[in-house]
Amino acid sequence: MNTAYAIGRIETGVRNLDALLHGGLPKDSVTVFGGPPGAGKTVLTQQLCFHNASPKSRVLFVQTLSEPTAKTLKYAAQFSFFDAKKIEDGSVSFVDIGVLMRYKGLEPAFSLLASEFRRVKPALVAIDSFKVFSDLARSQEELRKFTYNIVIQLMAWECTAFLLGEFSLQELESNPVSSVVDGIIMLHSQEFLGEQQRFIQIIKMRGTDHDRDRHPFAIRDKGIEIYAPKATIRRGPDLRSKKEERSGRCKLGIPGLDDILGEGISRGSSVLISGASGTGKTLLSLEALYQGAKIFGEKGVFFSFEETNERLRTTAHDLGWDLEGEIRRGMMEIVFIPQPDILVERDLLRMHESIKRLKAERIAIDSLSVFLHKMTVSQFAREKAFQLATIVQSTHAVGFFTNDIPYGTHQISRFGVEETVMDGIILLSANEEGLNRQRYLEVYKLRNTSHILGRHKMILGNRGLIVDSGENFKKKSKFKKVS
Amino acid sequence: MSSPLVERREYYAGYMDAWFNKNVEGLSTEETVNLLGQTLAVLWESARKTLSEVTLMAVMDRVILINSESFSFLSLVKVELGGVRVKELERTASLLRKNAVVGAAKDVLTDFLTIIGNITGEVISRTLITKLSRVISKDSLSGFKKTRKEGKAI
Repeated sequence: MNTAYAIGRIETGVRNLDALLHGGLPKDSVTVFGGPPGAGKTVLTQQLCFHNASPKSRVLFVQTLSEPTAKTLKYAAQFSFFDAKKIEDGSVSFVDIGVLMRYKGLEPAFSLLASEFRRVKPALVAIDSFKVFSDLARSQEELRKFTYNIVIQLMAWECTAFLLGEFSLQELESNPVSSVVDGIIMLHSQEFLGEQQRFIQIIKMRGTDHDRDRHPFAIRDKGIEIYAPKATIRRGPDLRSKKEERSGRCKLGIPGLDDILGEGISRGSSVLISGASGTGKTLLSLEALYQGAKIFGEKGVFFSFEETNERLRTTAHDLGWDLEGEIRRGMMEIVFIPQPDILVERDLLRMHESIKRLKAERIAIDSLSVFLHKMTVSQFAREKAFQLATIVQSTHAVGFFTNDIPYGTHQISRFGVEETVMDGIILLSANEEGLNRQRYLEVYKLRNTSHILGRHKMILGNRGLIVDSGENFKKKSKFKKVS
Repeated sequence: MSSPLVERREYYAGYMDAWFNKNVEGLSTEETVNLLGQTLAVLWESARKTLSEVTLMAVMDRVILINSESFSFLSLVKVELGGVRVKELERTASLLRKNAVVGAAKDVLTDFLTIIGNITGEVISRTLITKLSRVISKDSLSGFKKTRKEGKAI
């Protein structure tokens, strides 16, 4: 795009929306927010407006016949972006033209609007709902003229404007407003992966390139949060500066396993730890993070979807690990997200943010199979696994992704696709041997690393896991029986 | 660091400063009001076909309204579909200080050029500046006065 004339941008104040707009909303643009009632149009608009409102950048909210202003204010006040002071100091003004419009028509309504523009001198204008004008116009011609006049006012006052309406895309095609707006953003909700989810999609936005995909969002007390990992998590240069970047490979600090892993795991790698239930996946990943913090001074975040924080702490305590101490020192964090609460897109972003905030060098996801359990299509599972691997790669960390596979199968992953995006695979198994069950570990794949092949015995010692690398195994494995 | 929008306004303000310094020396207050009226008429005519009178009226309405807050006498300027009328202001010009009129005129023209620049992506700004540079000199002003007396359109 020719950049000779730079169009200014405004921050939306909506999480990830600026990224989808490739830098924010074009200043002075007129955008339709379309979608059915309850889709989130009003909240989105209020959030945008309150974020940008100031005595030097005033906002004019025009209420038509959608709902009384009192009601709008009452519900807006529930959100943390709402700031009553901005109404008191005139940064945000509300005007209700509903009654005038209903009894006297569009022309007097336009005159009132024009006088409000002169009074408020707004930088942002929201009209909720604009669709009402189509319903009340006596003819298509009157609607066209009215729309044109409004847009001229918005342009002359250099306003960034939001025209809300219960428009569908088909309706917009035949509405005069579509020919004069710069942007169309559609919101709707639908059932997705067994849950009712809200979605947002930028259909059109002049003056900027933009993301065109549909992204889920939620309305929380902070307002709207868009989850768009596809757009915001991208492979690229490491986020860490060279100074922060740790040189050398990652050693796990688990007796025997480091011998098998050769020179260690490359930074930025993701390793799948696959095995049936009870093969030691959680323990292996927890120990890799704990030893990383304790021996190597590498920070770690453990994301758990099954084991609660307390249970993981108890496990560590029973093995004599000072996990509490590492957590207190800020070297480790455990983030527990109960399985029923998982929202993949949202949690991907949460994970990304936690990892960046802590500057974690080791990450565990326990388990990937539970995290992706709602994915019914393997293509989606692969995409999400790829995004997780991208987080690991872009933060120059090492990721351990545990993965449940059915007992007695030869699968190496749950969905059959995760392994394609992983740099390494460690297979855990447990075979019946006489009256006992023996655990085994096999490094199935480890990119760019010369490692020892084959299955190796793995036992749970007094202080954690011990893997038989052939070196002094008997000496090291003065173990208690695996329970 | 200033934004491109602020920079654009500063550019036009600088241009108008230089333009007024060159053109208003020796003019009476009334003549300065004339100058403003003439200049606005030329700009209006240049932009009319491209932007439409409705747009120009809305922009000029805003410009006059904003600047009336600093220079209350600007409320005597009338913005109509056909252009900007300064007759009322001319009548009271003798009561005004010339510096104030020059200041108001500068701000009005600066804001007008800035807004037109902003809303068009500066596409017609060069044309307007060119027209502006041709409008005024003391010689052309005397020509303007003559034309006005004869009641001809500019």
